Amino acid sequence: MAINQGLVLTCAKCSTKNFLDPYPFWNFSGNTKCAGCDTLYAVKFVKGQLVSGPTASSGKADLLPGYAEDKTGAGIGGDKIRPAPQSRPDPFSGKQKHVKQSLRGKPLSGSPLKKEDLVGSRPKFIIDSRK
Amino acid sequence: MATPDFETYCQQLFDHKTAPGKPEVLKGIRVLSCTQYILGPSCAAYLAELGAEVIKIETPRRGEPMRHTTPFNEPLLFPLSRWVPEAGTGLGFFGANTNEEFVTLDFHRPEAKQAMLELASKSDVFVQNFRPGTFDRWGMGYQHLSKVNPRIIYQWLGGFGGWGPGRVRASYDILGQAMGGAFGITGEAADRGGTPAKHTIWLADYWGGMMAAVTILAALYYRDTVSGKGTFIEYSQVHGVQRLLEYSLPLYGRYGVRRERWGNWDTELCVHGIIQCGKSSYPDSQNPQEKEVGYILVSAHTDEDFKKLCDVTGRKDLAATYAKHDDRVKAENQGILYEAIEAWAKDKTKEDVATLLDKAVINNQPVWNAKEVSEQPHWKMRGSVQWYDDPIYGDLHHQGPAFKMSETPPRLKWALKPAGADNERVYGRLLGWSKTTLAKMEEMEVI
Repeated sequence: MAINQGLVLTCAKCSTKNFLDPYPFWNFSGNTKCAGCDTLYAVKFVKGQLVSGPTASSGKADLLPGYAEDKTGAGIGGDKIRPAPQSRPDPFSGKQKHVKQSLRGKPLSGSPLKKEDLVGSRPKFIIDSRK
Repeated sequence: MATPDFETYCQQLFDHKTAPGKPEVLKGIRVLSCTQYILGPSCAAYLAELGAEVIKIETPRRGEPMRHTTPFNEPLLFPLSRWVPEAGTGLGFFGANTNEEFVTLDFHRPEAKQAMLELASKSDVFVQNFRPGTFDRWGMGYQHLSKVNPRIIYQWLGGFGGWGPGRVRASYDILGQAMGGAFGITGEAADRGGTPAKHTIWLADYWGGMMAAVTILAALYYRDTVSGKGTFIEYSQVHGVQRLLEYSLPLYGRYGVRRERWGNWDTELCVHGIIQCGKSSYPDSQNPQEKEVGYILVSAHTDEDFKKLCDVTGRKDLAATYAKHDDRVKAENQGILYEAIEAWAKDKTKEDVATLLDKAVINNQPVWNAKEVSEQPHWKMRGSVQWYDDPIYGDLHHQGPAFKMSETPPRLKWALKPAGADNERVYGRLLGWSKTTLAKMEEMEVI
Protein backbone atom coordinates (compact mmCIF):
# COMPACT_ATOMS: atom_id res chain seq x y z
CA MET A 1 0.00 0.00 0.00
CA ALA A 2 1.36 3.40 -0.98
CA ILE A 3 0.06 6.57 0.50
CA ASN A 4 -0.34 9.62 -1.67
CA GLN A 5 -0.55 13.07 -0.22
CA GLY A 6 -3.12 13.66 2.48
CA LEU A 7 -6.15 11.45 2.58
CA VAL A 8 -5.78 9.71 -0.77
CA LEU A 9 -5.15 6.04 -0.30
CA THR A 10 -3.79 4.18 -3.32
CA CYS A 11 -4.28 0.42 -3.18
CA ALA A 12 -1.14 -1.53 -3.99
CA LYS A 13 -3.18 -4.51 -5.19
CA CYS A 14 -5.34 -2.78 -7.79
CA SER A 15 -3.98 0.79 -7.93
CA THR A 16 -7.39 2.21 -7.12
CA LYS A 17 -7.25 5.69 -5.66
CA ASN A 18 -9.55 5.83 -2.66
CA PHE A 19 -10.42 9.38 -1.68
CA LEU A 20 -11.07 9.44 2.05
CA ASP A 21 -13.22 12.49 2.69
CA PRO A 22 -11.62 14.81 5.21
CA TYR A 23 -14.60 15.31 7.48
CA PRO A 24 -15.42 11.70 8.39
CA PHE A 25 -11.79 10.55 8.24
CA TRP A 26 -10.21 13.56 9.96
CA ASN A 27 -10.14 11.76 13.30
CA PHE A 28 -10.82 8.14 12.50
CA SER A 29 -9.58 4.78 13.65
CA GLY A 30 -10.90 1.59 12.05
CA ASN A 31 -11.31 -0.30 8.82
CA THR A 32 -11.87 1.08 5.37
CA LYS A 33 -12.27 -0.86 2.16
CA CYS A 34 -10.67 -0.36 -1.23
CA ALA A 35 -13.47 0.45 -3.67
CA GLY A 36 -11.65 -1.40 -6.45
CA CYS A 37 -10.83 -4.82 -4.96
CA ASP A 38 -12.62 -4.84 -1.56
CA THR A 39 -9.35 -5.26 0.35
CA LEU A 40 -9.80 -4.18 3.95
CA TYR A 41 -7.28 -1.86 5.55
CA ALA A 42 -6.94 -0.65 9.11
CA VAL A 43 -6.03 3.03 9.29
CA LYS A 44 -5.81 5.67 11.96
CA PHE A 45 -5.97 9.38 11.25
CA VAL A 46 -5.51 12.09 13.83
CA LYS A 47 -6.27 15.62 12.69
CA GLY A 48 -6.08 14.48 9.10
CA GLN A 49 -2.66 12.87 9.50
CA LEU A 50 -2.15 9.16 9.05
CA VAL A 51 -0.60 7.97 12.32
CA SER A 52 -0.87 4.21 11.79
CA GLY A 53 -1.58 1.83 8.93
CA PRO A 54 -2.71 1.13 6.42
CA THR A 55 -2.36 -2.53 7.30
CA ALA A 56 -4.28 -5.53 6.03
CA SER A 57 -7.28 -6.16 8.21
CA SER A 58 -10.28 -8.44 8.58
CA GLY A 59 -13.91 -8.02 9.49
CA LYS A 60 -16.03 -5.29 7.96
CA ALA A 61 -15.43 -1.76 6.79
CA ASP A 62 -16.35 0.91 9.32
CA LEU A 63 -16.28 3.66 6.74
CA LEU A 64 -16.12 3.58 2.95
CA PRO A 65 -14.20 6.05 0.79
CA GLY A 66 -16.18 9.06 -0.36
CA TYR A 67 -15.01 8.65 -3.94
CA ALA A 68 -12.70 6.35 -5.85
CA GLU A 69 -11.02 6.06 -9.23
CA ASP A 70 -9.59 3.00 -10.92
CA LYS A 71 -6.14 3.06 -12.50
CA THR A 72 -7.54 4.46 -15.75
CA GLY A 73 -9.06 7.38 -13.88
CA ALA A 74 -12.64 6.14 -14.23
CA GLY A 75 -14.86 6.83 -11.25
CA ILE A 76 -16.07 3.93 -9.10
CA GLY A 77 -19.56 4.36 -7.73
CA GLY A 78 -22.48 2.37 -6.46
CA ASP A 79 -22.20 0.61 -3.12
CA LYS A 80 -18.39 0.66 -3.25
CA ILE A 81 -18.34 4.18 -1.90
CA ARG A 82 -20.25 5.95 0.81
CA PRO A 83 -23.53 7.36 -0.56
CA ALA A 84 -24.32 11.06 -0.46
CA PRO A 85 -25.39 11.95 3.08
CA GLN A 86 -29.06 11.96 3.80
CA SER A 87 -30.86 14.34 6.08
CA ARG A 88 -30.01 13.63 9.66
CA PRO A 89 -32.71 13.57 12.32
CA ASP A 90 -34.02 16.76 13.75
CA PRO A 91 -32.61 16.94 17.30
CA PHE A 92 -36.00 17.61 18.89
CA SER A 93 -38.28 15.16 17.09
CA GLY A 94 -35.68 12.48 16.33
CA LYS A 95 -37.01 12.31 12.76
CA GLN A 96 -35.74 13.70 9.52
CA LYS A 97 -37.27 17.09 9.06
CA HIS A 98 -38.10 17.48 5.42
CA VAL A 99 -40.08 20.54 4.51
CA LYS A 100 -42.29 21.70 1.68
CA GLN A 101 -42.70 25.22 2.96
CA SER A 102 -40.33 27.94 4.06
CA LEU A 103 -40.36 29.49 7.52
CA ARG A 104 -42.93 32.01 6.30
CA GLY A 105 -45.20 29.37 4.76
CA LYS A 106 -44.44 29.57 1.03
CA PRO A 107 -43.59 26.60 -1.25
CA LEU A 108 -40.02 25.33 -0.88
CA SER A 109 -38.41 22.22 -2.36
CA GLY A 110 -37.00 20.74 0.84
CA SER A 111 -38.04 17.09 0.55
CA PRO A 112 -36.77 14.09 -1.46
CA LEU A 113 -38.26 13.83 -4.93
CA LYS A 114 -38.71 11.19 -7.60
CA LYS A 115 -37.85 11.52 -11.26
CA GLU A 116 -41.53 11.86 -12.11
CA ASP A 117 -41.72 14.87 -9.77
CA LEU A 118 -39.41 16.85 -12.06
CA VAL A 119 -39.66 18.86 -15.25
CA GLY A 120 -36.05 18.89 -16.39
CA SER A 121 -34.27 19.84 -13.18
CA ARG A 122 -37.22 21.74 -11.69
CA PRO A 123 -39.73 20.35 -9.19
CA LYS A 124 -43.23 20.28 -10.66
CA PHE A 125 -44.88 21.54 -7.50
CA ILE A 126 -42.76 24.68 -7.54
CA ILE A 127 -43.73 25.30 -11.16
CA ASP A 128 -47.38 24.68 -10.32
CA SER A 129 -47.26 27.05 -7.38
CA ARG A 130 -46.56 29.89 -9.80
CA LYS A 131 -49.52 29.21 -12.09
CA MET B 1 -34.52 71.81 -8.91
CA ALA B 2 -33.52 71.21 -5.30
CA THR B 3 -31.25 68.31 -4.63
CA PRO B 4 -32.70 65.68 -2.31
CA ASP B 5 -31.21 65.12 1.12
CA PHE B 6 -28.48 62.50 1.25
CA GLU B 7 -30.67 59.71 2.63
CA THR B 8 -33.36 60.18 -0.01
CA TYR B 9 -30.69 60.42 -2.69
CA CYS B 10 -29.05 57.15 -1.61
CA GLN B 11 -32.35 55.34 -1.26
CA GLN B 12 -33.45 56.32 -4.75
CA LEU B 13 -30.08 55.49 -6.24
CA PHE B 14 -29.41 52.19 -4.54
CA ASP B 15 -32.84 50.60 -4.02
CA HIS B 16 -32.13 46.93 -4.79
CA LYS B 17 -35.61 46.51 -6.28
CA THR B 18 -34.58 48.72 -9.21
CA ALA B 19 -31.49 46.62 -10.00
CA PRO B 20 -33.14 44.33 -12.60
CA GLY B 21 -33.80 47.33 -14.86
CA LYS B 22 -30.20 48.49 -14.87
CA PRO B 23 -27.19 47.16 -16.84
CA GLU B 24 -24.68 44.70 -15.41
CA VAL B 25 -21.08 45.82 -15.34
CA LEU B 26 -19.53 42.46 -16.29
CA LYS B 27 -22.12 41.46 -18.89
CA GLY B 28 -20.29 39.86 -21.80
CA ILE B 29 -17.52 38.40 -19.67
CA ARG B 30 -17.69 34.60 -19.64
CA VAL B 31 -16.16 32.71 -16.74
CA LEU B 32 -15.59 28.96 -16.45
CA SER B 33 -15.61 27.87 -12.82
CA CYS B 34 -14.13 24.43 -12.12
CA THR B 35 -14.29 25.03 -8.40
CA GLN B 36 -15.25 23.26 -5.22
CA TYR B 37 -16.01 24.06 -1.58
CA ILE B 38 -15.88 27.85 -0.95
CA LEU B 39 -12.52 29.42 -1.84
CA GLY B 40 -12.80 29.01 -5.62
CA PRO B 41 -16.58 29.11 -5.92
CA SER B 42 -16.92 32.38 -4.01
CA CYS B 43 -14.48 34.03 -6.43
CA ALA B 44 -16.68 33.10 -9.38
CA ALA B 45 -19.85 34.05 -7.49
CA TYR B 46 -18.59 37.58 -6.85
CA LEU B 47 -18.08 37.97 -10.61
CA ALA B 48 -21.56 36.55 -11.27
CA GLU B 49 -23.14 39.04 -8.87
CA LEU B 50 -21.61 41.73 -11.08
CA GLY B 51 -23.17 40.23 -14.19
CA ALA B 52 -20.51 37.91 -15.60
CA GLU B 53 -21.80 34.77 -17.32
CA VAL B 54 -20.37 32.16 -14.98
CA ILE B 55 -20.55 28.51 -16.00
CA LYS B 56 -19.93 26.20 -13.08
CA ILE B 57 -18.57 22.80 -14.12
CA GLU B 58 -19.08 19.92 -11.69
CA THR B 59 -18.79 16.18 -11.40
CA PRO B 60 -21.64 14.40 -13.25
CA ARG B 61 -24.69 13.38 -11.19
CA ARG B 62 -23.47 14.34 -7.71
CA GLY B 63 -21.94 17.75 -8.29
CA GLU B 64 -19.05 19.13 -6.30
CA PRO B 65 -18.38 18.10 -2.69
CA MET B 66 -19.73 21.25 -1.08
CA ARG B 67 -23.24 20.19 -2.04
CA HIS B 68 -22.83 17.31 0.41
CA THR B 69 -20.95 18.96 3.19
CA THR B 70 -22.88 21.39 5.34
CA PRO B 71 -24.71 22.16 7.49
CA PHE B 72 -25.60 18.94 9.24
CA ASN B 73 -27.12 17.75 5.97
CA GLU B 74 -30.51 19.16 6.82
CA PRO B 75 -32.53 20.94 5.54
CA LEU B 76 -31.49 20.26 1.98
CA LEU B 77 -32.70 21.67 -1.30
CA PHE B 78 -33.98 19.03 -3.70
CA PRO B 79 -33.19 17.79 -6.29
CA LEU B 80 -29.41 17.38 -6.17
CA SER B 81 -29.63 16.82 -9.92
CA ARG B 82 -32.21 15.46 -12.31
CA TRP B 83 -30.43 12.09 -12.05
CA VAL B 84 -30.45 12.07 -8.25
CA PRO B 85 -33.75 13.69 -7.22
CA GLU B 86 -33.92 11.86 -3.90
CA ALA B 87 -30.88 13.71 -2.55
CA GLY B 88 -30.32 17.42 -2.16
CA THR B 89 -27.81 20.20 -1.88
CA GLY B 90 -26.73 21.38 1.56
CA LEU B 91 -27.25 24.99 2.49
CA GLY B 92 -23.49 25.50 2.81
CA PHE B 93 -23.54 25.76 -0.99
CA PHE B 94 -25.41 29.06 -0.61
CA GLY B 95 -23.56 32.29 -1.09
CA ALA B 96 -20.71 30.86 -3.13
CA ASN B 97 -22.55 29.93 -6.32
CA THR B 98 -24.89 32.84 -6.97
CA ASN B 99 -26.32 33.57 -10.45
CA GLU B 100 -24.34 30.78 -12.16
CA GLU B 101 -25.16 28.27 -14.86
CA PHE B 102 -24.51 24.68 -13.87
CA VAL B 103 -23.10 22.02 -16.15
CA THR B 104 -21.47 18.69 -15.48
CA LEU B 105 -18.30 17.25 -16.98
CA ASP B 106 -16.02 14.42 -15.91
CA PHE B 107 -12.58 15.99 -16.19
CA HIS B 108 -10.88 12.61 -16.46
CA ARG B 109 -12.36 11.74 -19.81
CA PRO B 110 -10.71 12.60 -23.14
CA GLU B 111 -14.04 13.89 -24.42
CA ALA B 112 -14.11 16.23 -21.44
CA LYS B 113 -10.72 17.66 -22.26
CA GLN B 114 -11.83 18.46 -25.78
CA ALA B 115 -15.01 20.09 -24.50
CA MET B 116 -13.05 22.09 -21.96
CA LEU B 117 -10.60 23.39 -24.55
CA GLU B 118 -13.51 24.44 -26.76
CA LEU B 119 -15.25 26.19 -23.87
CA ALA B 120 -12.01 27.91 -22.87
CA SER B 121 -11.48 29.15 -26.42
CA LYS B 122 -14.76 31.06 -26.05
CA SER B 123 -14.28 32.35 -22.52
CA ASP B 124 -12.54 35.23 -20.79
CA VAL B 125 -11.77 33.75 -17.38
CA PHE B 126 -11.04 30.29 -16.01
CA VAL B 127 -11.15 29.65 -12.26
CA GLN B 128 -10.16 26.45 -10.50
CA ASN B 129 -9.03 25.47 -7.02
CA PHE B 130 -7.85 21.89 -7.29
CA ARG B 131 -4.52 20.81 -5.84
CA PRO B 132 -1.44 22.28 -7.53
CA GLY B 133 -0.72 20.73 -10.90
CA THR B 134 -3.90 18.66 -11.12
CA PHE B 135 -5.33 20.55 -14.06
CA ASP B 136 -1.98 20.57 -15.79
CA ARG B 137 -1.91 16.80 -15.45
CA TRP B 138 -5.32 16.69 -17.08
CA GLY B 139 -4.15 18.96 -19.93
CA MET B 140 -6.27 21.88 -18.75
CA GLY B 141 -3.66 24.12 -17.11
CA TYR B 142 -2.84 27.64 -18.19
CA GLN B 143 -0.11 26.28 -20.40
CA HIS B 144 -2.73 24.34 -22.32
CA LEU B 145 -5.65 26.76 -22.32
CA SER B 146 -3.55 29.76 -23.30
CA LYS B 147 -2.60 27.93 -26.49
CA VAL B 148 -6.24 27.80 -27.59
CA ASN B 149 -7.05 31.21 -26.10
CA PRO B 150 -4.10 33.55 -25.48
CA ARG B 151 -6.48 36.11 -23.96
CA ILE B 152 -7.72 33.90 -21.17
CA ILE B 153 -7.31 34.97 -17.54
CA TYR B 154 -6.52 31.81 -15.58
CA GLN B 155 -7.08 32.02 -11.84
CA TRP B 156 -5.79 29.17 -9.72
CA LEU B 157 -6.50 29.24 -6.00
CA GLY B 158 -4.85 26.86 -3.57
CA GLY B 159 -3.50 26.60 -0.10
CA PHE B 160 0.21 27.16 -0.43
CA GLY B 161 0.96 28.32 -3.95
CA GLY B 162 2.02 26.36 -7.00
CA TRP B 163 5.72 26.14 -6.18
CA GLY B 164 7.90 25.66 -3.14
CA PRO B 165 8.54 22.62 -0.95
CA GLY B 166 5.32 22.98 1.07
CA ARG B 167 2.94 23.20 -1.85
CA VAL B 168 1.48 19.69 -2.16
CA ARG B 169 -1.09 19.51 0.60
CA ALA B 170 -4.79 20.06 0.79
CA SER B 171 -5.89 23.26 2.43
CA TYR B 172 -9.10 24.20 4.15
CA ASP B 173 -10.30 27.42 5.65
CA ILE B 174 -9.31 26.28 9.13
CA LEU B 175 -5.86 25.20 7.98
CA GLY B 176 -5.39 28.52 6.20
CA GLN B 177 -6.26 30.37 9.38
CA ALA B 178 -3.93 28.19 11.46
CA MET B 179 -0.93 28.34 9.15
CA GLY B 180 -1.47 31.97 8.20
CA GLY B 181 -1.18 33.08 11.82
CA ALA B 182 -4.77 34.14 12.48
CA PHE B 183 -5.19 31.74 15.39
CA GLY B 184 -2.09 33.15 17.02
CA ILE B 185 -4.01 36.35 17.70
CA THR B 186 -7.64 35.19 17.72
CA GLY B 187 -9.04 33.47 20.79
CA GLU B 188 -8.91 33.74 24.54
CA ALA B 189 -6.07 35.30 26.48
CA ALA B 190 -3.64 33.06 28.35
CA ASP B 191 -5.23 33.74 31.75
CA ARG B 192 -8.74 32.99 30.43
CA GLY B 193 -7.97 29.62 28.90
CA GLY B 194 -5.65 30.68 26.12
CA THR B 195 -7.35 28.66 23.40
CA PRO B 196 -7.36 29.81 19.78
CA ALA B 197 -10.76 30.46 18.22
CA LYS B 198 -11.65 29.47 14.71
CA HIS B 199 -13.67 32.06 12.92
CA THR B 200 -16.92 30.18 12.44
CA ILE B 201 -17.63 31.74 9.08
CA TRP B 202 -15.24 30.56 6.37
CA LEU B 203 -13.37 33.81 6.45
CA ALA B 204 -10.18 32.64 4.73
CA ASP B 205 -12.26 31.14 1.93
CA TYR B 206 -14.60 34.04 1.26
CA TRP B 207 -11.81 36.60 1.69
CA GLY B 208 -9.62 34.62 -0.69
CA GLY B 209 -12.44 34.47 -3.22
CA MET B 210 -12.81 38.23 -3.08
CA MET B 211 -9.04 38.77 -3.42
CA ALA B 212 -9.03 36.54 -6.49
CA ALA B 213 -12.02 38.32 -8.01
CA VAL B 214 -10.28 41.68 -7.59
CA THR B 215 -7.15 40.30 -9.24
CA ILE B 216 -9.16 38.94 -12.16
CA LEU B 217 -10.68 42.37 -12.73
CA ALA B 218 -7.19 43.87 -12.74
CA ALA B 219 -6.02 41.25 -15.25
CA LEU B 220 -9.05 41.94 -17.47
CA TYR B 221 -8.26 45.64 -17.36
CA TYR B 222 -4.65 44.97 -18.34
CA ARG B 223 -5.68 42.64 -21.13
CA ASP B 224 -8.28 44.98 -22.58
CA THR B 225 -6.35 48.24 -22.28
CA VAL B 226 -2.66 47.35 -22.45
CA SER B 227 -1.47 43.91 -23.47
CA GLY B 228 -4.27 42.14 -25.30
CA LYS B 229 -3.11 38.97 -23.57
CA GLY B 230 -4.23 36.79 -20.70
CA THR B 231 -2.64 36.25 -17.31
CA PHE B 232 -1.97 33.29 -15.06
CA ILE B 233 -2.88 34.17 -11.48
CA GLU B 234 -1.94 32.17 -8.43
CA TYR B 235 -3.59 32.79 -5.07
CA SER B 236 -2.43 31.16 -1.85
CA GLN B 237 -5.05 30.88 0.86
CA VAL B 238 -2.41 30.93 3.58
CA HIS B 239 -0.78 34.01 2.14
CA GLY B 240 -4.20 35.62 2.06
CA VAL B 241 -4.57 35.09 5.80
CA GLN B 242 -1.07 36.47 6.37
CA ARG B 243 -2.20 39.59 4.50
CA LEU B 244 -4.76 40.10 7.29
CA LEU B 245 -2.27 40.04 10.16
CA GLU B 246 -2.17 43.84 10.47
CA TYR B 247 0.77 44.90 12.62
CA SER B 248 1.67 41.43 13.93
CA LEU B 249 4.65 40.90 11.66
CA PRO B 250 6.05 44.45 11.88
CA LEU B 251 5.74 44.20 15.67
CA TYR B 252 7.63 40.92 15.70
CA GLY B 253 10.24 42.27 13.31
CA ARG B 254 10.93 45.32 15.43
CA TYR B 255 10.81 43.90 18.95
CA GLY B 256 10.58 40.15 18.71
CA VAL B 257 7.19 40.47 20.41
CA ARG B 258 4.58 37.89 19.52
CA ARG B 259 1.17 39.51 19.39
CA GLU B 260 -1.13 37.44 21.56
CA ARG B 261 -4.79 36.49 21.85
CA TRP B 262 -6.99 38.82 23.84
CA GLY B 263 -10.47 37.35 23.43
CA ASN B 264 -13.48 39.61 23.12
CA TRP B 265 -11.74 42.60 24.63
CA ASP B 266 -9.33 45.02 22.99
CA THR B 267 -5.62 45.41 23.60
CA GLU B 268 -5.65 49.11 22.75
CA LEU B 269 -8.98 50.35 24.13
CA CYS B 270 -10.90 49.80 27.34
CA VAL B 271 -13.82 49.56 27.84
CA HIS B 272 -14.26 48.26 24.29
CA GLY B 273 -15.39 44.65 24.31
CA ILE B 274 -18.18 42.10 24.52
CA ILE B 275 -19.76 41.25 27.86
CA GLN B 276 -22.14 38.53 28.93
CA CYS B 277 -25.65 39.42 30.07
CA GLY B 278 -27.12 37.01 32.59
CA LYS B 279 -30.62 36.58 31.15
CA SER B 280 -31.97 35.15 27.92
CA SER B 281 -33.87 37.43 25.56
CA TYR B 282 -36.45 34.67 25.10
CA PRO B 283 -37.07 33.25 28.58
CA ASP B 284 -40.34 31.53 27.64
CA SER B 285 -39.05 29.91 24.45
CA GLN B 286 -39.01 26.13 24.17
CA ASN B 287 -36.04 26.37 21.82
CA PRO B 288 -32.84 25.66 23.79
CA GLN B 289 -30.93 27.94 21.44
CA GLU B 290 -33.06 30.87 22.51
CA LYS B 291 -32.74 30.09 26.20
CA GLU B 292 -29.05 30.89 26.10
CA VAL B 293 -27.91 34.10 27.74
CA GLY B 294 -27.12 37.11 25.59
CA TYR B 295 -24.01 39.15 24.84
CA ILE B 296 -23.50 42.78 24.05
CA LEU B 297 -20.69 44.98 22.77
CA VAL B 298 -19.98 47.93 25.08
CA SER B 299 -17.70 50.71 23.89
CA ALA B 300 -16.90 53.38 26.49
CA HIS B 301 -13.18 53.92 26.19
CA THR B 302 -13.02 57.71 26.37
CA ASP B 303 -12.77 59.17 29.86
CA GLU B 304 -16.16 60.84 29.44
CA ASP B 305 -17.95 57.68 28.27
CA PHE B 306 -16.27 55.55 30.91
CA LYS B 307 -17.52 57.90 33.62
CA LYS B 308 -21.04 57.63 32.19
CA LEU B 309 -20.74 53.84 32.15
CA CYS B 310 -19.71 53.85 35.80
CA ASP B 311 -22.71 56.00 36.62
CA VAL B 312 -25.09 53.61 34.84
CA THR B 313 -23.61 50.54 36.47
CA GLY B 314 -23.48 52.15 39.92
CA ARG B 315 -19.70 51.80 40.15
CA LYS B 316 -18.55 55.35 40.65
CA ASP B 317 -15.62 53.96 42.62
CA LEU B 318 -14.23 52.53 39.39
CA ALA B 319 -14.55 55.91 37.68
CA ALA B 320 -12.29 57.35 40.32
CA THR B 321 -9.78 54.52 40.39
CA TYR B 322 -9.50 54.11 36.62
CA ALA B 323 -10.11 57.65 35.46
CA LYS B 324 -7.16 57.51 33.04
CA HIS B 325 -7.31 55.33 29.94
CA ASP B 326 -3.69 54.31 30.39
CA ASP B 327 -4.74 52.64 33.63
CA ARG B 328 -7.92 51.08 32.25
CA VAL B 329 -6.22 49.50 29.27
CA LYS B 330 -3.60 47.64 31.34
CA ALA B 331 -4.10 43.91 31.05
CA GLU B 332 -4.53 43.33 34.77
CA ASN B 333 -7.13 46.11 35.07
CA GLN B 334 -9.24 45.10 32.09
CA GLY B 335 -10.22 41.91 33.89
CA ILE B 336 -11.42 43.88 36.92
CA LEU B 337 -13.48 46.27 34.79
CA TYR B 338 -15.17 43.68 32.57
CA GLU B 339 -15.97 41.53 35.60
CA ALA B 340 -17.67 44.51 37.25
CA ILE B 341 -19.75 45.27 34.16
CA GLU B 342 -20.81 41.64 33.78
CA ALA B 343 -21.82 41.53 37.46
CA TRP B 344 -24.09 44.52 36.80
CA ALA B 345 -25.53 42.82 33.66
CA LYS B 346 -26.14 39.50 35.41
CA ASP B 347 -29.87 40.12 35.98
CA LYS B 348 -30.45 41.71 32.59
CA THR B 349 -31.02 40.73 28.98
CA LYS B 350 -28.87 42.21 26.23
CA GLU B 351 -31.87 44.37 25.29
CA ASP B 352 -32.17 45.64 28.89
CA VAL B 353 -28.50 46.59 28.83
CA ALA B 354 -28.84 48.24 25.42
CA THR B 355 -31.78 50.33 26.61
CA LEU B 356 -29.89 51.58 29.65
CA LEU B 357 -26.73 52.34 27.66
CA ASP B 358 -28.68 54.05 24.87
CA LYS B 359 -30.31 56.28 27.47
CA ALA B 360 -26.85 57.23 28.75
CA VAL B 361 -25.60 57.74 25.16
CA ILE B 362 -22.99 54.99 25.41
CA ASN B 363 -22.11 53.10 22.25
CA ASN B 364 -23.33 49.49 22.33
CA GLN B 365 -24.62 46.69 20.14
CA PRO B 366 -26.30 43.48 21.22
CA VAL B 367 -24.73 40.42 19.60
CA TRP B 368 -27.32 39.23 17.11
CA ASN B 369 -28.06 35.73 15.93
CA ALA B 370 -29.41 34.77 12.49
CA LYS B 371 -33.01 35.29 13.58
CA GLU B 372 -32.29 38.77 14.86
CA VAL B 373 -30.27 39.72 11.79
CA SER B 374 -33.12 38.51 9.57
CA GLU B 375 -35.73 40.61 11.34
CA GLN B 376 -34.04 44.01 11.27
CA PRO B 377 -35.99 46.51 9.14
CA HIS B 378 -32.84 48.44 8.22
CA TRP B 379 -31.14 45.48 6.57
CA LYS B 380 -34.32 44.21 5.00
CA MET B 381 -35.00 47.59 3.44
CA ARG B 382 -31.49 47.72 2.00
CA GLY B 383 -31.77 44.21 0.54
CA SER B 384 -28.87 42.92 2.61
CA VAL B 385 -31.13 40.13 3.80
CA GLN B 386 -34.03 39.19 1.64
CA TRP B 387 -36.64 36.61 0.85
CA TYR B 388 -36.81 35.81 -2.82
CA ASP B 389 -38.73 33.55 -5.12
CA ASP B 390 -36.20 31.10 -6.54
CA PRO B 391 -37.32 29.66 -9.89
CA ILE B 392 -36.23 26.14 -8.95
CA TYR B 393 -36.35 25.73 -5.19
CA GLY B 394 -39.08 28.18 -4.21
CA ASP B 395 -39.06 30.52 -1.24
CA LEU B 396 -35.50 31.16 -0.03
CA HIS B 397 -33.98 33.51 2.48
CA HIS B 398 -30.58 34.85 1.52
CA GLN B 399 -28.07 37.63 1.91
CA GLY B 400 -27.87 40.07 -1.00
CA PRO B 401 -24.69 41.56 -2.52
CA ALA B 402 -22.74 43.48 0.10
CA PHE B 403 -22.15 46.62 -1.92
CA LYS B 404 -24.24 49.00 -4.02
CA MET B 405 -23.48 50.55 -7.41
CA SER B 406 -25.67 53.33 -8.75
CA GLU B 407 -25.36 52.61 -12.49
CA THR B 408 -24.60 48.90 -12.65
CA PRO B 409 -25.78 47.35 -9.39
CA PRO B 410 -24.81 43.82 -8.42
CA ARG B 411 -27.85 41.63 -7.92
CA LEU B 412 -29.16 38.29 -6.78
CA LYS B 413 -30.90 36.42 -9.61
CA TRP B 414 -30.82 32.95 -8.13
CA ALA B 415 -28.76 31.31 -5.41
CA LEU B 416 -27.98 27.94 -6.98
CA LYS B 417 -29.30 25.27 -9.32
CA PRO B 418 -29.12 21.47 -9.40
CA ALA B 419 -25.92 19.97 -10.84
CA GLY B 420 -26.11 19.86 -14.64
CA ALA B 421 -29.29 21.92 -14.85
CA ASP B 422 -27.91 23.93 -17.79
CA ASN B 423 -26.19 21.13 -19.74
CA GLU B 424 -28.40 21.43 -22.81
CA ARG B 425 -28.35 25.20 -22.90
CA VAL B 426 -24.60 25.63 -22.42
CA TYR B 427 -23.30 22.74 -24.49
CA GLY B 428 -25.89 23.33 -27.19
CA ARG B 429 -25.26 27.06 -27.44
CA LEU B 430 -21.49 27.16 -26.99
CA LEU B 431 -20.32 23.86 -28.44
CA GLY B 432 -23.15 23.17 -30.87
CA TRP B 433 -23.90 19.78 -29.41
CA SER B 434 -27.05 18.25 -30.89
CA LYS B 435 -29.69 16.45 -28.91
CA THR B 436 -28.12 13.18 -30.03
CA THR B 437 -24.63 14.23 -28.92
CA LEU B 438 -25.97 15.38 -25.58
CA ALA B 439 -27.74 12.06 -25.06
CA LYS B 440 -24.61 10.14 -26.01
CA MET B 441 -22.41 12.17 -23.66
CA GLU B 442 -24.93 11.65 -20.88
CA GLU B 443 -25.11 7.92 -21.51
CA MET B 444 -21.30 7.72 -21.40
CA GLU B 445 -21.38 9.73 -18.17
CA VAL B 446 -19.06 12.34 -19.66
CA ILE B 447 -21.67 14.88 -18.57
